[in-house]
Amino acid sequence: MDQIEEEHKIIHLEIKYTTEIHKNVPIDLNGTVLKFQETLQEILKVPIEKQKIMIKGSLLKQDQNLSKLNLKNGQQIMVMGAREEHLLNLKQGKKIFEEDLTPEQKAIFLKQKAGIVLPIGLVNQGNTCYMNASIQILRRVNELNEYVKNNAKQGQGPSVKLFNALNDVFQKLELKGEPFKPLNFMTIFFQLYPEFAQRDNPMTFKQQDADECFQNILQTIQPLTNYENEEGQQKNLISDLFEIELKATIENQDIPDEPKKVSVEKGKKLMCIIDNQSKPVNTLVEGITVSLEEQMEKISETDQQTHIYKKTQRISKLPSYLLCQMVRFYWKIGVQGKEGVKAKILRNVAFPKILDLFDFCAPELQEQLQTGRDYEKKKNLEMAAKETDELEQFKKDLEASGKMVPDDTREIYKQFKAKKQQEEIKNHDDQLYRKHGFGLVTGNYELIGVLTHTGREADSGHYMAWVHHSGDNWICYDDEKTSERKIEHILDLRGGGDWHMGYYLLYRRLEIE
Amino acid sequence: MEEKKVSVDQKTQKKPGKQVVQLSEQDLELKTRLEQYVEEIIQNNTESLEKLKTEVRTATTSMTSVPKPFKFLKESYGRLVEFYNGLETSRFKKQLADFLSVLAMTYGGDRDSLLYLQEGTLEEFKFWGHEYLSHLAANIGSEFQIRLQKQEGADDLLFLVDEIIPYFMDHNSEHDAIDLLSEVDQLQKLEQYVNQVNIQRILVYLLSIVPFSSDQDELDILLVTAYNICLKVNEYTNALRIALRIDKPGKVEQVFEACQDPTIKKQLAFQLARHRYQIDEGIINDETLKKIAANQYLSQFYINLAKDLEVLEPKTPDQVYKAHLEEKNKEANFEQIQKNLAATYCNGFVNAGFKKDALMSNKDNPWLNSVKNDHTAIAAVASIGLINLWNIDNGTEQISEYFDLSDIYTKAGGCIGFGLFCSGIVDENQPAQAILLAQLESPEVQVKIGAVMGLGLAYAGSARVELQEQLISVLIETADSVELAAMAALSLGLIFVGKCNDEVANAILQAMMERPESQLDLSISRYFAVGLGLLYLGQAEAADIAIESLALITHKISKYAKVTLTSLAYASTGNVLKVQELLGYCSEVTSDDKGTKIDKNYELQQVAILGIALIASSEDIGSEMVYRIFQHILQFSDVEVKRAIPLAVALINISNPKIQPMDLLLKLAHDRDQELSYRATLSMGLLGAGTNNSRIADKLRGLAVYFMNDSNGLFLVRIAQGLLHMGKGLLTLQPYYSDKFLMNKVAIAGIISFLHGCLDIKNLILEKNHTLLYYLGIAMYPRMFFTLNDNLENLPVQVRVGQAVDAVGQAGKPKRITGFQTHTSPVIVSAGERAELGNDEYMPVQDMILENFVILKKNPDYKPEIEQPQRKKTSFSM
Repeated sequence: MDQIEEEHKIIHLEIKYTTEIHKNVPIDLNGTVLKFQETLQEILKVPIEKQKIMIKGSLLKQDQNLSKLNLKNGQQIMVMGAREEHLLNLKQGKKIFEEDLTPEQKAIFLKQKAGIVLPIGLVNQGNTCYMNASIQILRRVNELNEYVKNNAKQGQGPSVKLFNALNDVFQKLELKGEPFKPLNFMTIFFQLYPEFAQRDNPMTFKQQDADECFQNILQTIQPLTNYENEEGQQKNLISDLFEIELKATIENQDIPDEPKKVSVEKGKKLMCIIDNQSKPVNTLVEGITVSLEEQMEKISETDQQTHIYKKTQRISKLPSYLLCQMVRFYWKIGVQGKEGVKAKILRNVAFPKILDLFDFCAPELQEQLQTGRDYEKKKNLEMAAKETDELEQFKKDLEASGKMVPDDTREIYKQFKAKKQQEEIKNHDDQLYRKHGFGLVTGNYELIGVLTHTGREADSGHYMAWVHHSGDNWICYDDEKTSERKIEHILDLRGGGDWHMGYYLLYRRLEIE
Repeated sequence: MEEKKVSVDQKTQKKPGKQVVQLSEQDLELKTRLEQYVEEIIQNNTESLEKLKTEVRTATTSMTSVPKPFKFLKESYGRLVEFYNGLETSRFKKQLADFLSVLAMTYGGDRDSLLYLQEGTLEEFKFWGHEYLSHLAANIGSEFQIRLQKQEGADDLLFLVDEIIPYFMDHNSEHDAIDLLSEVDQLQKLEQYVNQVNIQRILVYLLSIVPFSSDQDELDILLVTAYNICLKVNEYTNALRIALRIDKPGKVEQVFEACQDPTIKKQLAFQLARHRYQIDEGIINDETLKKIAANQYLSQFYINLAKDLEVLEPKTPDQVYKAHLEEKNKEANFEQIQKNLAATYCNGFVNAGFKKDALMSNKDNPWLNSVKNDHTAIAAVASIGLINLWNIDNGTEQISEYFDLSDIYTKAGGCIGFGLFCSGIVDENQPAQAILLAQLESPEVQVKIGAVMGLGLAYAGSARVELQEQLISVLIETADSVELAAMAALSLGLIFVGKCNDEVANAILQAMMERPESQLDLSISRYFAVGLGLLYLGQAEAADIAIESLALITHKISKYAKVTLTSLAYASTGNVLKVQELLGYCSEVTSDDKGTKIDKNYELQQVAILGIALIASSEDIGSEMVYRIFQHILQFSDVEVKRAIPLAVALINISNPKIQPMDLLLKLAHDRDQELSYRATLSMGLLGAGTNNSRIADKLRGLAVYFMNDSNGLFLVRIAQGLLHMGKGLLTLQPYYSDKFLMNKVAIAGIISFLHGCLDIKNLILEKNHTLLYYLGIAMYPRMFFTLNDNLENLPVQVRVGQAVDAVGQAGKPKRITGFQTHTSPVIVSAGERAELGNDEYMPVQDMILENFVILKKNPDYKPEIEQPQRKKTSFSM
């Protein structure tokens, strides 16, 4: 009897492993679970420790007694477990996730990997929007930006401190990744120019004029921007970039024979006079004309009498960056014992995307510019002629690349235009960022930054900076908030209502290669 | 009675005033003759009565409008009545009563026909024709109701009924017969009149009045009668369909025992599998039948369908998003956790059930590296479960190694995934139970939660007692996290869905009572309520005791549970009283006299709205009415209440992208209220789930642009896109099938579990509990129609698919679909569509609704047409 029972202890099971079914697998009911698992390892190539054996809703455990499981001959049991060759390759590092990065890490990562600099705003510290906007506009002057970032100065003077603080702000704007307070910069600036530190109340500062702030910054750091160019000449970066030379001619309107007085003046901005009684000003060019051609009364040296003189200013040196100030603020004299106030003109004054200064230039300079202008004309004509050839080339390339070629010629032309437009944006951006002095000057300037003010009075309201980014895309810096805008929005900032209006315009010189 | 006679007299008196219409010679003669007969009758002439009767009867046979003798007898009716009342009781009087009964059909008052009939001989009333009997039937119906109110016996009426019914049955008037029988509460008598010929018409009519039954008793009688007559004439497939609806123990098994035909049995097994009904093991012995009933063929056929339609190739999330069509596409410079998580879900939904996907199957560049080592990893591993839906063999192969990793999140994900692919499939080794119960021993709460969820998914609707004890012990263990307990409650609810298991109900109640209030405040605690409600899904009054016991809980969750329980218990009953009760919650005053807002339980109102949708969702007219109620709420309610509307709209129209709700949801998706817009976005996905609807796809792309700077919103858009393209357009979430006659409880339970999570999107779906999305997995089912031969091989035949038309009660063989297209099977059938076989070469093995799997047999009467119509390939686009 015993013998028969012993024989019965070995039964055959059907093993199901994933989609495989192994029939007639022997199991010794008197043996250990381990023994059975070894058998399974042989058949299934699944390591013992990974085997999960499922019988009727429970897992087979190491210490279980096989004979008590009521296994029947031919019964199906299920095995689960991964074979070595199926294992996932999890050794490669985890991906880096945006959510895990601090804004700073993100900015650094972006800069290094993709060369992208995210627009970062500056936090308002109590009516310091004029300062924030000025800094953002100043930062768009990429030559200055690079210089300030790369040349931390040694020394203790307040201007050195300001320079270094600006350096810090520029660095952070690039790599901080989130809006921050330019606290250090503000403190030093206030030390240098205490009038800016006036307060309305203990919490906030007084609103200030962005123009003054801007010019003060330039003035302070100017002595620190001396450099030596490739030819060994001593240069000053700020003067290179912003300095505009005006040749003023003063002539006596009454006595034409009186000798004209010629003088040269230097400045860092052009004014656009808006408040003109005789002839209303509607555009930037008109405003500049008014400011460059003024009439004045003066005692003549010839006859010691008062005569009307005409002062005409003409540009004799064009700057790399042209700053135009809309003269919107003026001192309104108080009447009937009232105090005078700083008032604002809300007038609508349109400004162009491309500003042509040719007409404002001195004749000598105009001659120089003419060469550039002729060349530009020629180049444009050439480009138009080349387009047909390029289209042909594009078609060929398209066929060669093996992609689907659309049947419709219009469709091809559309694709071609799209490609062309991309190229143009790239060239255009290049033109708006590359170093000056390598191409021909034409007297054309392109708008790259607008500093706006909103509000009815000079002492209140809000300043914002609108800065060119790429192609037609601009970025609006509203203190810590940044948003994308199109060029159309920018050209709408001409005033005439309660919306933001251009106060300070930054133009960049265009050069033709 | 007196009054009525007076009224008749008045009518006759008025007559002379009216202008007499000029009659033709023939008519005049007839009129005179009739009047003469009447005169003679009044002279007690029996013969004349017979003559008059013959006159009327012969006219009746060819009538279209009121027959002429009837017209001409109008004036005589009053006189005859007068004469009749004066007569002594005699045979003549009885005979006259018979005739008066007929005339009363036109001239008598309410129930006069019946009255005279009963005073008459009762010998010949059946010869008066169909119109008369219909009229009588109506009289009997109203008389019966009066007797019922007066609590008088009605045997005399029942006697008449028994006489009338066979007449109706023989004269193609089955619906009249059914109406009469149900009027007099004698529906069970129908059984004796049913035969092979009239069964179809009887059944169609019987089942079409099911949604209109006024109470549970009436419904029960209706269903049981239908069930019995099907069994009587061996209509097993229909009997089973009704048995599944009745949902009482033994009914299904009875059908199986009665059926002897092996092929029909296979068909029955397919029906069981579709309903996820787990039949007693002893009933089915055959291996093939077992396999069918265990749903083991589903995966294989589903993949065949995909092959046939050439959509087997895995789809990547990017192909689904079609981001290049979005107006503006921001350059992505980073791997974003939330973006990858959305891709995980989208990939899971789109490739659900296809065994292969674009992310998880890639072993060289594991997707696990692209998700974080937290809840997103759970979602990633669990998506294997969706991808291998209904396929245990492949599922175990792909998921096994994640159990060997030491990481708790992959293990937890593995548990959920394991549950998903085992869901609805019965395997005698019960792998899900074996693996997941072992994981329940894990010291890690996260793994336990995974195991509990997995068990709930795998055994939803199975009522598997082996799991009850284990899960209850998890549920009532107060030392563990409340999330674990809540998920255990939900899993128990899913496993014992609609089973009214009191033991489980008490355990859930106990768990709610023992938890501190601060824990019940947590959003996840709502799943205690949902779990409890699911136990009573569709069981109506059975939930009353549980609702009462909720009063013991002082926390506000008890109200939440009460509303949930009510809505689930009456799910898809269309019970108007319950809809009103729930509406009551929505109309609570929101502000006091001074206009200041009262702090109120908005969540309660949201659940109530969801509940209204649930109750009304099974039937079209109810859904329409509820949709109108929702419009009111949108116009007049607080925004907090409005937030429930998108979910409710999605619930009544799930996987059924109609234009109206689509536009509504799109509008709400752009609402200023963020939560509302989030829910509407997700609801758009549910609305079009598995349809590939291009209109919704377009709108969602628009929303993706709208949410460009809102990563949460974008996440939900991506999920909605995944849902829209679920199973590449081959799946549906629709829990109702078989002409909306049957409700798949597991599917409803899955959808409801998810929707309750959506009531707090910000804290659940957008936080750690996004795995709630996987509950939609158990609601998924292929919207396919396969024709098979006896060997369960695909039998390609021509099938017409078109818009379903209601043809109940119409004479002859009306067209039941319109605007159809002809395809070769297998085909996919959308919501509101119906399939028909293209020709008569084959016929279903037994009459049934053509959906899912149908076994065909050769039609013995088939004569091939000479000209074969051209075969069209199914057009299908992704």
